[in-house]
Amino acid sequence: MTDRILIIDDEPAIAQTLKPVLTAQNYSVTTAATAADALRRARQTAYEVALLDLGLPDADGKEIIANLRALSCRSIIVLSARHQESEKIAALDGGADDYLNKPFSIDELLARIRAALRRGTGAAPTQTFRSRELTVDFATHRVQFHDADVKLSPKEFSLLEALCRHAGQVVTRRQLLLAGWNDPAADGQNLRTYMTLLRQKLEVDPSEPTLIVTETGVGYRLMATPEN
Amino acid sequence: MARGNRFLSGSTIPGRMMSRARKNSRALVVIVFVASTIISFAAHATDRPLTAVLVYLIAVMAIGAMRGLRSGLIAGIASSVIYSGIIRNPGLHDSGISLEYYFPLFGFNFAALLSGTLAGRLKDRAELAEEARRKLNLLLDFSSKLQNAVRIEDVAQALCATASTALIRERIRPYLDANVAEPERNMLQRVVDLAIDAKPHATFEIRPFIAEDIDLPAFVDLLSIAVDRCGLLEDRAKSEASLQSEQFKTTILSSISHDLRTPIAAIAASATSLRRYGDTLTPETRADLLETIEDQCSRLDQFTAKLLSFGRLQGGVAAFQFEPADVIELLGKAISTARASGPEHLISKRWPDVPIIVMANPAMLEQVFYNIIENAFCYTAPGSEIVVQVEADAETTTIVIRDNGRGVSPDSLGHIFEPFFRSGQSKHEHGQGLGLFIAKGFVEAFGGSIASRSPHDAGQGLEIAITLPLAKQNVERLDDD
Repeated sequence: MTDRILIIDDEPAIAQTLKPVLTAQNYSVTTAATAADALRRARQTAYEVALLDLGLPDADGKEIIANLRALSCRSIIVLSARHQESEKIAALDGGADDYLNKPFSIDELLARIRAALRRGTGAAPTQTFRSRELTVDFATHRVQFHDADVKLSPKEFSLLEALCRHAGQVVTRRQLLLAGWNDPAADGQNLRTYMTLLRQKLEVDPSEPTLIVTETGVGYRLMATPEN
Repeated sequence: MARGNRFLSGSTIPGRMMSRARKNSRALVVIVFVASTIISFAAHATDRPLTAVLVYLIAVMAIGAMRGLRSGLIAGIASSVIYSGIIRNPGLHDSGISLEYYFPLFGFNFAALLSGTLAGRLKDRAELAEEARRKLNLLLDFSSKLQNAVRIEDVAQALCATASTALIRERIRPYLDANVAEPERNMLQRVVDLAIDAKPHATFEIRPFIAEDIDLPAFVDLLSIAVDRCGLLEDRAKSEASLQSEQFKTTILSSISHDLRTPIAAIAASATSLRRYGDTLTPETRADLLETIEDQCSRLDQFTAKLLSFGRLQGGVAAFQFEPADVIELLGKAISTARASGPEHLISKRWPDVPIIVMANPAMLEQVFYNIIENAFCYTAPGSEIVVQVEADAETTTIVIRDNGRGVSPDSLGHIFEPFFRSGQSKHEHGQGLGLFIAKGFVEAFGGSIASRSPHDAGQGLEIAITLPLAKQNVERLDDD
């Protein structure tokens, strides 16, 4: 079954470019130019992924995230030309799964869509995460980096697990604080310290991370693709 | 109030000039006159009539020379009366006086009057000339003091140094009120008020010259010329400032249009070529054209990001909420991003592997680092090393980014943080002259400072040092088991 994607953007150039490319990738693509149109289409059909531009002519994109979610969209990726971190955080807190800054490359977009589809399958959570460089067993807490065992503290493991379960997607600081401290208002300084420790164990060059990258002002993203 | 013209007529000796010296000279005149009368009388009595006449004549001339026209005339008349009445003719009641008897008497009287008058007029002229010289000197002095006055305050200062408070208050100000028309009067009165306020404790006057010494209209003319000049200078400064701001706007617009149009032109040319002649081009050329489009798009993207930051700076960064940000993490991110655009450059990192936390907007701080590294890329040869070094003490952290490119000339070094400034002749095509300006603006918004040094090494290289205050740390004990 082909996955359905709803593109919600009032800019015709974006829809015109993305539709053929995504169709060629075997997705079924629908476009909507307004918030009202998007909600109407979401009522009619269930979509696996919605690509949502925040600057819509008839509504602020953030306001329809919850509605889209409630109707039928399993994953929402926000596309934004407004590079304001607070805006992104608000969208993510409001129920969006990921965001992508305009302008973006098609490769980036496809990677985000794939990550969203993986998360949105609705299947039971897996017991292990396995990518090219990283293996994590959630039950036994065993972690291997490039086939070598890595010893992590419980808190480090909790943070890594949260990142792995959203592999390829952004995880906000709030979500990580919840995962590690069970308290979204915990001190962000501690989170930074633990992320530094994690990187020292899981990065080839911890000063320029490629696996656990920083989404400045928003959170972190595990740049790893799980293998099945 | 009299209009003070009395002092300017130049025809009479001012009546108030009764100095001590003048009173002394009046006493001297009386002594001279009495003495000469006695001598003349004695000479006549001892039958020396020529001596008697000469003594009297010399005395009259001396008095005229000492005291001027009026005194000379009075002395002349008095001496004639005394000489003809008492000295020459003790027996005036004698009858039968001949013409020969009266001729020398008339001669003496006439000579006495003439000499007194001439000597007196000479004296008056000399005094007038002296007074005119004094007035002129004063005006010259005042004028030279006004020479360097560029502001109203300077004019007041010059006035203050030249005239006493009493003179300003009692003569100059009333003169302005009576003789100068609006709107010039307002400005002059302001100067006068400033000058009076400038020395409230004027117990000692350095140059306490008297009111009569001053040529008031000329003095006020000088004052108003100086005030006019100040006004003109001020206008010129204003118009220069507005011209500069116009030039700044023009620079911004021309820079923006250049930096937007160049990539757009490249994209448009590549796209049209592919569309029109795609079939006839080799696969390599097609790939090149597509790469051009991608590259120029990212260039446009970076430029618009900078314009956005420029706008943020113009609007004031203080409005943004700052949060704890890790300098090390953001430097790593900025370096990763920079590497993607300049993979041929070597970056050597020298920093501790612990977070260094400052209060900042993380995205903006990342851009600060990126801009400086990108600037280093622009001005260094591929393959050369760029050093990024971080140090911290108890209060601050210092981030130093050092390249070994061609450096910046001393003339340009002071300008590298100015907007739209590009150093050197070989203007790098990818620089818009905004990166370092934004870096400085953001760093200062975070309460830090930024400095540059060039050359720092064997006549080359640029070093940029950022100092930021550390955030208050509050780290829980790590649960490493």
